[in-house]
Order: sequence, then structure tokens, then C-alpha cells
Amino acid sequence: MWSYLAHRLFQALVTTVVTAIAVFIMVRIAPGDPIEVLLGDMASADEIARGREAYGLDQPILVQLGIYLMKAATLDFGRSITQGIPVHELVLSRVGPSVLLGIVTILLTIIIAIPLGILCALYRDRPVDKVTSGGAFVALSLPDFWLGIVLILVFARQLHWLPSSGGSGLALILPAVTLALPLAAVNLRLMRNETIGVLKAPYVTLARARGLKLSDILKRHVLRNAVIPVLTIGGVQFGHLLGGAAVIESVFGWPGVGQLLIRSIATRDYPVVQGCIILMTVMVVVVNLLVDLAYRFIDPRFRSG
Amino acid sequence: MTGPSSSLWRKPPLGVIMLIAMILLAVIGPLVVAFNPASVDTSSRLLAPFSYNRNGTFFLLGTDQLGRGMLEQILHGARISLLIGVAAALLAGLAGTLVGVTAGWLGGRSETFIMRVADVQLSFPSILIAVFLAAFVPPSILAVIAVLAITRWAQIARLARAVTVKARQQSYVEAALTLGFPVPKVIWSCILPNLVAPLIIVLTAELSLIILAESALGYLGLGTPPTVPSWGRIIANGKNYLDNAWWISTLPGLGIGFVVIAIGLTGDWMRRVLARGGFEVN
Repeated sequence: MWSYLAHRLFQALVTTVVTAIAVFIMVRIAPGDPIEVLLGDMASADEIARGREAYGLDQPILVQLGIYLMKAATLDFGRSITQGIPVHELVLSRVGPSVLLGIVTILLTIIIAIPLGILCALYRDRPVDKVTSGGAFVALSLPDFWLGIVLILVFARQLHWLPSSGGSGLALILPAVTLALPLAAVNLRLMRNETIGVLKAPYVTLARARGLKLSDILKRHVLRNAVIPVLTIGGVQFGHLLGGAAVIESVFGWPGVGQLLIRSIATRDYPVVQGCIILMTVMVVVVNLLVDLAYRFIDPRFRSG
Repeated sequence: MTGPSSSLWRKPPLGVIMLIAMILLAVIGPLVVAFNPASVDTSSRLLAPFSYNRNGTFFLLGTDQLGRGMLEQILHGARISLLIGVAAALLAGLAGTLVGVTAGWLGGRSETFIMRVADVQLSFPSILIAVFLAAFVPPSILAVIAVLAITRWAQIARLARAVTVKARQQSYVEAALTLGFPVPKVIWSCILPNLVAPLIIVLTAELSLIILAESALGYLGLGTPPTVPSWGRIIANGKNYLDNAWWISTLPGLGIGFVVIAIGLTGDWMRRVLARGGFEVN
């Protein structure tokens, strides 16, 4: 177990450093000069040169990389070029909203997927199952950002029930629903198939033969066994949400890391882009690691693996 | 056995019909209706679907804030989005197959390294990688194709490696090598045929994901250049007019949904056909 943990921690570290270097390289070879963007069209060549010096952009590239990695290890990504605030302050202030959105989305996903999945398994190939499966297929075929816009159109602009943007509690609902629908579609299929598999297991047949009520069988045998894969997927999805929700955060103006990333890309604010990507990498890597460990903890078959 | 082909056309599958209809619209549509992204027609601004402007011109799907017809934009966008999707899927398929087969054939350290890289990439949300890469290349159709292919090669490589490793152990591969056939020839005629059926299935699924990702990049303004209409770009444009022109953002999304549903149904159908034809499809 400990050697496995050490191995996984090392892998996580390598992933993070490699991503950091990849980000550095991409930013340097990208077209568009941040200093020229910052100073505007009216800046003279002299002013631009002084700006480059101030941000260390005049050093040789390997020296820049070395300094950058050492600073990154201490969470020092420099200052935002457009806002002048230290990058780590700017980025860390966005972590809370992103994590909150991720947690609410996953909870919503589970609340939708598990009961519906069991229902579809119990009424397999009946109308309920077919309609739900069809709905899941459609939910996975629509662009999520478009779904978000349609929800804004209906619930914010037409019905005026919910705000379409902002960082308040009510404003959390629409982005969370938008993100949860396609995820729930995936998990509900998984839950349905797992439940069908468990319902065929000998211990369920035995429990039925013993005359246990269906609700007890579902609670004691089916749910416990079928839910493990769904929770594992949920963990991985949570990790992906921390990085992959960027588009939806932008649609709803939700103040998360993803929205900051998209905005910083538009303004070529390189230090912030670097900070966002590296922070997202760390979050994805840490969540994946935790999910893996939790899985090994829950499922005894994996403990000695 | 009559084989799969005889019964195929008796009952034409819905997904294939939808897909063919969409491809015809995307190919022929832009030839019939012209679209000039730079045109501005103030007399036809923000017209609802099924309405006429003052000059009596009919707009089936309405117009946007510059008076440009939605039907024209969506048809031209369809061509671009489908073209990018198919090209990116083929490129990802080619690169993934090349890398995966190489890894599976060589084995050892190079296999471990290649598969580790694929694992690392797959642990990240692909849209994040696409956004990140697209942010640093100048907008062009070729750049979008390359970016989308890069985000999707790893899945294909995994599949190609798994199939190669399995096929390599077969006695016919051993026989071919013993008989002295050159390795490229053995890979071509003994390994790749095993890959065709699963690759078709996986590439179909990837095509859907690529079309969805392309629209997301377009929405963020990171896709095609502003002069090229793309579905995602039209949706982003309409978001500023949700209060008085719901049709700008919603209609292109329906187009994307239609295509992705058609591809999904076609994929299911192909899986059944290939399975009935005796192919092994995971």
C-alpha cells in the first residue's frame, strides 16, 4: 500500500511538472506579444523594451524556464499583466467557486442518475426505460454550452425565476444543472447496466427465494454493489469538472478558475494562463489520486493490489 | 448465410438517412444560398423565422443583428463544422493508429512511454486541452483540425495498441514472420485488418465528440477565423440578443444536436451490422 502510494505520488508530481513545462513552451511560442497588448498601439520601441525587462521577458529562454519552475514550486507565478495583482491571489480566489460548482454538479448528477438507473433496470425495455434512455442519448448529443443558453433563455429571460449570471447561490443552479444533465446521462446508463448485472447475481436470487421484500433487496444488495462504479466515475467526473467546466463557467459568468482562464487567454495575460492551467492540473491530479485511493479502500479486492 | 449486406437496405436505418440528409444540405446548401459574412442589411435586422423584410424577401429561419440570414449562416456553418469534424477524426485515427500499432508491436520501454503519455493526456478533460492549444495558435481551419486531432489521438492509440498486442500473439503472425515476410508487410496484412471494425466504431463516437468540441471552441472565439461561419460562433453571437432574438443562438444548436444524434444512431447501426458480419467489436 505505501509503496503504491509513493509510486502514485511520484507519478502525480511528474504529470504536474511536465504540464508546467508544456504550458511554459506553449506560452513562449504563441503569437501576440503581451507587452505590446499591455502598452497599447501607441507605445514606442523603447517603452516596449523596458516593459520586457520589467517582466523578465528579455532573458534567455532556458533561464526563464528555470526561474519559472523554481517560482512555480512556491506558487509564485508573478503578477497578472492586465490587473497587476499577484497571480496566485487571483487564481486561488477562484478555486472556491469552482469546487462549489463541481460538488453541487456531482451531487445533482448522483441524485438524478442513481434512482433513474435503478428504475430503468427494474422496468427494463419497458416504456420508462426506453424514454429515459432516449432522453440520455439526446442529452449527450447536445452541446453543453448551448443547453446552458437555452436554460438561460427559458428560466432567466422568459420565466424570470433564476439569474443568468453572477456568483450568488441562486446563480449556481443553472450552471450546475447544465453540467449535471450530460453527466447524469452517462451515469444513469452505467447504473442501469450495473443494477441489471447485480439483479442476476445468485445472492439476489437467494434473497428473493428467502422472501425478502424487493425494497430490502434493493437497499441491502443491489444499491451497495451497483453504486461503487458509479461513485468512482463520479470522482473522476468531479476532477474533470474542475478543469472542464471552463466553457460553462464562461456562459454563466460563474467566477471560477475556468472563466478566469478563458478571459486571460483573450487578453493574453500569460502569467494568469499559466497559473490557471497549473492549478487545474494539480486539482485534476489530486482528485484522481484520491478517487483511486478511495476505490482501493472501499473495495477489499483492490487492497493488496 | 446471406451475409449482412443483403438485409441492410431493406429497412434503411434512421441515423444513416439523417446523416445523408445533413451531408447533402452541407454540400449543396452553400452552392444554392450565398452567404457573405461582411454584408450588412439594416432593413432586415433581427427578423424572426418565417418573416419578410420590407423589400419582401422571405427569411425561413430569420436574421441576425446585421440582417444576415440564419439559414445561410447555418448551411455554410454546417459545411465548415462537418469538414473540420471529419478531417480531425481521420487525422486522429491515422496518428492514433500509427502510434498505437508501433507501441503494441515494439513493446518494452517505448510502449510503456507512449502509453504513459496517453494516460496522462486522458486524465485531463479534453476540452481543457483543446482550449489551451487553440489559445496559442492563430485561428485557421487547419489549426482547429490539428488541435482537435491532438485532443483525441490517445483513445485511438489505446485501442490500436490493445488490438496489436492481441493479434501479435496469433499463430498466423508468427508464421508470417518465420516465413520471412518484412515487418511492415506483416503489420499491414495481419494486424491492421483486425483493427478495421473496432476503429470504425470508435472513430464514429470520436467524430461526435469532435463536432461538439469544435462548436465549443467556436463559441469561445478560439475556433475558425471570424470570417468563417461556424455553428459555435453563431451561438456566441446570438447570446447578446437572447431578449429579442431567441432564434440566433438556438437554431445552430439544434443543427449540432441533429448531426450528433445522426452520427450516434449510425454508429449503433454499424456496430450491429459489423457484429452480425462476424467482426469482433468490443
